[in-house]
Amino acid sequence: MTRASAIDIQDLTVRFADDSGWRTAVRSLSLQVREGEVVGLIGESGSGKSVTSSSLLWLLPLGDRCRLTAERLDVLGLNVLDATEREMRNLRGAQAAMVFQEPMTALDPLRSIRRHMHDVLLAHKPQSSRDAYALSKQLLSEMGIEDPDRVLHCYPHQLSGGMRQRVLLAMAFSCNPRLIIADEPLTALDVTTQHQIVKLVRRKTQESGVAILFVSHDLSVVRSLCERVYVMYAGEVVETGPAHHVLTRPHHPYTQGLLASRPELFAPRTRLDTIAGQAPSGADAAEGCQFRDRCPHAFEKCSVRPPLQASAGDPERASACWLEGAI
Amino acid sequence: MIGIVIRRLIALVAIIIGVTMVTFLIARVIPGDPALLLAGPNATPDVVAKIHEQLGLDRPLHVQFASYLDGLIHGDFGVSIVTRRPVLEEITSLLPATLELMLTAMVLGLFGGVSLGVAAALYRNRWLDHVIRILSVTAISMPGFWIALVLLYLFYGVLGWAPGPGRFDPLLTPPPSVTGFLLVDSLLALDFRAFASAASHLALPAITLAVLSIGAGMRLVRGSMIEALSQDYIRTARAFGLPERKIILSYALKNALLPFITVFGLELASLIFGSVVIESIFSWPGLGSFVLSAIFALDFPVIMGFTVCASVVYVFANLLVDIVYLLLDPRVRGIG
Repeated sequence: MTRASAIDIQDLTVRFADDSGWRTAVRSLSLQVREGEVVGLIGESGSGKSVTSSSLLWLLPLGDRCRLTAERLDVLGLNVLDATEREMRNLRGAQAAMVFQEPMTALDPLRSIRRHMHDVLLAHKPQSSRDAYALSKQLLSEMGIEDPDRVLHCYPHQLSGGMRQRVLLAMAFSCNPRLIIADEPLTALDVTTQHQIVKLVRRKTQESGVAILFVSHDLSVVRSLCERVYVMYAGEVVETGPAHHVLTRPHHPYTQGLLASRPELFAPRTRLDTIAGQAPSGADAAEGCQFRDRCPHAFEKCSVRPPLQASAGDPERASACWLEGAI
Repeated sequence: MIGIVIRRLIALVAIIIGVTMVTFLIARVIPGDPALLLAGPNATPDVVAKIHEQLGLDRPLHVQFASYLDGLIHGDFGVSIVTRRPVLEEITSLLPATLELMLTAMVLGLFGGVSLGVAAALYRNRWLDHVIRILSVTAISMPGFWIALVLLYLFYGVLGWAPGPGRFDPLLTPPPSVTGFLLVDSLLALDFRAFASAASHLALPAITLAVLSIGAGMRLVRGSMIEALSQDYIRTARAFGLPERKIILSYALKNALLPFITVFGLELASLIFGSVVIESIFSWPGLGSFVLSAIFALDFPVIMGFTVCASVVYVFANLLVDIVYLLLDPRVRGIG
């Protein structure tokens, strides 16, 4: 536990305004990723995963309609809250890179892959375009692309989603970052491609010792890839701990529900469990546990918000539930 | 890509023939007999009939059209009824003045529209955006001749900054004609006094014409720029730490220009016909004022010659626009 932290978030709150008022997308969230660690961040759509990951590189549309407060927001030792635009630019892409969910729209349709990659390489390290080309080629081959020369001369519309995500991953790894924030990088891809990309990411992390915050709603990928995991619900962390433990013996009723609502291939034919009800929109500043309305175990005490508490039996784990461990 | 251009060129020929035919028909259908005008109020029917015969107006319509087309192909646009000089000669002698005005207005309109649009998009919903938008609505809703009069009154009448009407100071000797563009010719002759005179005469009419296209262009660029800036690839570019300048000019603007380029080709029509009015107001010795007097005199060979030339210019400009579009957008280039 002496490793320095790659991400250190304390008490992050992000709120968005729309016509009906303010909504809380992320509520007093704290999250740590140590150098070289692969950490999963899971939760259903709208639980605030992407907002959290975007805030790390200060990519939120902050202004009249979006407010961010935090006790601490450090990325690789840089205090993002007070960083200048120049400091942020040196962080982005060079030290902390980000991969997004939608490879189909994440690349400029009017720019060739070669120019995309050169732009990133040249933005962070002056070099001849010949060197940049050679490096781009090497990066693409490392991502399992067999004919990098052809791909470099392609435009995004000529490549499949899987190829584009490989290109984006190559861009992310291009400046040897110490941290990669992967915001649902597999969601838009088919299963075989997902599998290949997971293998690639695993190999690259072992080789380079890069820390990864892996945002996903795919529990099995997170379980196989990540050391630790954070489970988010309605903008809050409800459970955290070693990925394998949390995702096999969950403590929080929400995590239990998530696990139960996965179809199993070889299980006897039963009705698939789902979590009843809908996630709160964040509009109502509801008191108490956010999961209360959908929780099968809810009781009177749930009208008071449970803090995220370390588990009695396992100090590495924590969950935000009054019944912690008892269910 | 070359295939696309060749196909467009073939379509061009068809369009130009079509325009010629329509122009020809309209010219013949419109009531009003140029022969009567030429012959004067006291002419006998005999004289009028003779003029008819001279001008070929007594022959069947399709024969007239065929001989007109035949003439066009051989560079014969007929003879002006009023000046008695070949139409093509008149047009080519006046064309440089008009083209100089139009090209200057185009460049001003292009840069003005794009830069104001980008500025408005970057400062969206702030005071700069509001000011630019109010200006653009004003520019769109004011007729060209009104803008011309206001500018003339202000900069010539009140402030005295601009020279009076015309294209060149009559007291100076114009530079030897090489391209016909006074700005270029005076620079080629290294005659900077002539250049200053030409530029100052050009300023007001060019600005008037440009204002019309700036208003519309600015709104379009603002909208498409805002849309481009909200795209995922802009977020990607930011997340990879690219310089903001590069993101705006090289990623967002390039995408935002696609719809603008298309519309700019169409805008050219209003530029051509706007110049007819504006030239008369500023006494610009170009095609516009010449054609306007031809219209009043029912000088059909001139009107038709101008229309055919204008359609050729317009159609070629739009071909150019298509080629630029092809160069910018790999998706329509048909790769892959």
